[in-house]
Amino acid sequence: MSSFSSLFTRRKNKNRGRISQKEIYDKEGIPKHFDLNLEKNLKSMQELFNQTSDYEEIEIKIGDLKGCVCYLGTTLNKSELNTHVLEPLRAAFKQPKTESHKDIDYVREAFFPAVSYKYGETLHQLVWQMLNGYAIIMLDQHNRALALNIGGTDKRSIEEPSTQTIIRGPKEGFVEDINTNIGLIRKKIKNPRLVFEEFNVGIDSNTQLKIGYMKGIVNEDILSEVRQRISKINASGILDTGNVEEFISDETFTFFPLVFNSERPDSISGNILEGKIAILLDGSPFVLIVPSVFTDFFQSTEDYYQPFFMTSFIRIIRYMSFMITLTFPSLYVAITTYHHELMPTPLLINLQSQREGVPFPAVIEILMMELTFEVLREAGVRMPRAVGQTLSIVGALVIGQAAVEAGLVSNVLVVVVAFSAIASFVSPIYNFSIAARLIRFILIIMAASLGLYGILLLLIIMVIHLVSLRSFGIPYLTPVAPFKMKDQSDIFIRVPIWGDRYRPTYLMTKAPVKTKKSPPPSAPKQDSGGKKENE
Amino acid sequence: MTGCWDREELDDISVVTGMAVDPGEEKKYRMTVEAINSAEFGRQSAQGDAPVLTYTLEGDSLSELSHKMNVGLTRKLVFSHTRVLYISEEVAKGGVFGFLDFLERSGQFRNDFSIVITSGYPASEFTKITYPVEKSPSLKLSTQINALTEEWGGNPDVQLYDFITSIISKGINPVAGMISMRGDPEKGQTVENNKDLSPDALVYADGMAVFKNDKMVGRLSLEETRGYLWTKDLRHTSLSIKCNSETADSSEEEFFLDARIIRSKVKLGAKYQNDRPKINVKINGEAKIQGTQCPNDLTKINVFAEHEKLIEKFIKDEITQLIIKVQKEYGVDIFGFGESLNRQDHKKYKEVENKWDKEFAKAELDVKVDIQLLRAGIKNKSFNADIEERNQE
Repeated sequence: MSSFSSLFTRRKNKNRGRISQKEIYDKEGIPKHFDLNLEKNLKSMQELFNQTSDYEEIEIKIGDLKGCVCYLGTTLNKSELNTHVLEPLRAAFKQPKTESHKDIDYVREAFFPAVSYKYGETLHQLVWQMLNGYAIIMLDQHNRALALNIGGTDKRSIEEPSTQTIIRGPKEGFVEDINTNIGLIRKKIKNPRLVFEEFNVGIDSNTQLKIGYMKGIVNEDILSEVRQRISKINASGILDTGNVEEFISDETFTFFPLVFNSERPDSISGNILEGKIAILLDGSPFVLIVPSVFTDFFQSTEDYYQPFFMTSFIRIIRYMSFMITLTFPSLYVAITTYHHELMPTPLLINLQSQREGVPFPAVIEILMMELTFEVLREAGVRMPRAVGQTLSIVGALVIGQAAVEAGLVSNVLVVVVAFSAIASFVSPIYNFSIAARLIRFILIIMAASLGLYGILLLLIIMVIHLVSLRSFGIPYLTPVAPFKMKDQSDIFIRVPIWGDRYRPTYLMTKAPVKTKKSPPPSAPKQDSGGKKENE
Repeated sequence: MTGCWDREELDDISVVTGMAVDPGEEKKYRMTVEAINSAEFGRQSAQGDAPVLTYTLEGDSLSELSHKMNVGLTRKLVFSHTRVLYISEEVAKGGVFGFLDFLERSGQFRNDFSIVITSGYPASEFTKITYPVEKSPSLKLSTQINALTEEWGGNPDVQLYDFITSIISKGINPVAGMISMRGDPEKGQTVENNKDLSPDALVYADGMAVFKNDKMVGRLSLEETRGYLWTKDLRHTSLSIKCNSETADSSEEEFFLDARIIRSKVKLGAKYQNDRPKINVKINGEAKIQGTQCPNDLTKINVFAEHEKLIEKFIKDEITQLIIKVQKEYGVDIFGFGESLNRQDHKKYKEVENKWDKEFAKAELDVKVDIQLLRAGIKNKSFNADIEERNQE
């Protein structure tokens, strides 16, 4: 019976499982202050942590003063704790009794001079510090406790990013630890105006979130909007920046990502320097950048490390690939089933000869193959590494050859599906291709029912939708629509770095000019160089 | 607007590449279609069967016949890829208006297919002659006509749109290419024809037909066709010009200069002088020497100038002869002088519009040719000259 009633009362009891208000705050809502009595304090600590198995207490004595070290054993490095805290305290026990021991400041200076510390005066502060890996030293008859930062548990070392790989450029990527990540950014931007603000998100998870920006460059309006949206995040747990993204996006019901993400410090640093705002979350190697526009997703950091001619060429290829992923299969369906007259005669005859004896209509054929490919792709991401070989062999054989040889699909269709699939991988930001992948299926169905007319209709709707989107108030299609001439230097083509002197105008930054005008690099004057050689 | 109801899977249609129109025995027309057997065109699926199938039906309109073909053929016929429309000489002489309207109106046809008039055999025979390189007879002919027009200029390459606009305008009359056949059409209809090094039957270009409005009134030879094409910005052609024509007596060996025209641009003009129309043709062009049998030294500038004059004269004669022939024999303006009169002197043209062809027949002709000889291939002196020098020594 009791379990039944709990089912019904569950939704009302909002604070179930959370650190209850009563325990930390008193009736007036003021945080509960530390008690002078050590026993009492320890008791309330034990209650707060609900007898969890990793809550540990070590009783200590400094002179004749009783005290206690308490910590969560899983959040700190125990050997560090031993050398930096427990060893000195053992020495303290042997020390002669003096009055000065009673002062907690003196204790800290005498025994832990090299350990970073904080003082906690309320239960709330101490709980928070313990959760973050501090060891707490409480002394009897003291209304403050000392929190020592021992150093956390093991973390992943910095590695090359696995999703956004480049050939030339820095190879380091973000890790799960937020402080390491901030360090990586600080390594790129050595500037006191680089500011990180701390937030705390997730009612239950209490995850640390930081926003980073350049003071004096960033647009304050956008910044306060970011602060506001982050403070409004209302979730039990925020485990990855993906969760944050969904909370702060301007529009949830869209296929297009409105927030840029990267696991590359150079990419994030570059964006911060442009006047954008980075959002870092403890526990996630992906850092968000806001505001971001459509064209951001066609740019890779490597664009700036290779010659600008190559970059311009590659950029155009990326835009084309996006269109190919989007429309290639549906164009095939529309043209082969409705508009035969659009094809050159030899191509038509060739396609027809391949389709002889294929039992399905073109649209079924292509949906079948596209779905098979999506299944393969998903399987490829999820499966254990060890069976990867099997999948690629089976996938290639089943999709590529066997289906054609069995006469289930035509040869050219495999080419169409494969080409559009490969083109979908060109986008430097993986989650952007999701838009193309999803819309593609709707387009195929439109093409099958209305021909080219249907494709055009959906594309028009898509463009209307794109135009209506905003990312933190910035129209998603800027600087193309609305058109901004000054920003064109780094959109479809990239001009040489020394010629790209302005920050994106659509951000309305406080410092719109990046660099002063300077003459392009050139060889030294001919005559002086020539003379030297003659001498 | 397209919709699900228009859906035609590729394996539910039959692509028509050629259509032939003959006079019917009982009804007005006999229509033959050439439909592709696409399996024969696939790299793996080809088995050596017939690459195309033809079917003939009689009826009073092509429109009805085009939808009635499934009496004998499978699958829905798709006409948008028709490359050639064969019209037999008899039909052309009786007038083609009756079915051109359908071709233009229905929207099933692209208007860029070639119109050819067949001579010697019924038009239907031409859709059945196999050829090893291009398996479909119509695709073969279409490519052949294009290459000929591009390389030498023996076919006017008339497409539906040109033909119809020429009929509508009173200042110009339509023309169409003509084709003929050599060999045995019976043997040419088999796949075995493809296995002969010299095919049993072969379709070849054979000049062009001259129309008065929509009725064919006469024909011109292959050489005269080139003469006509000079007035249509002939792209390329090759000329063989006698270079000792003025000094030589008939007993001497004839020498020829081989010139290749690389580019030519024409300006047609017409105006009235003393109530008699004066038509003029002005041709600008560039040429190069491709070969020479003449003993002249090509390193000398005056030899180039002489050669230029020879080429100009040759072209001028060819055009003059043709225009005079058309004026005298057919009395129809196939060149479009009436149109240029319309542009230059609209008032006068309106006066003579209805009798323009007669006016054209008595017009005074003025042809000007200006050819620039650009270079003499990739060498200067001919090795003939070296041999002669050695002989003299």
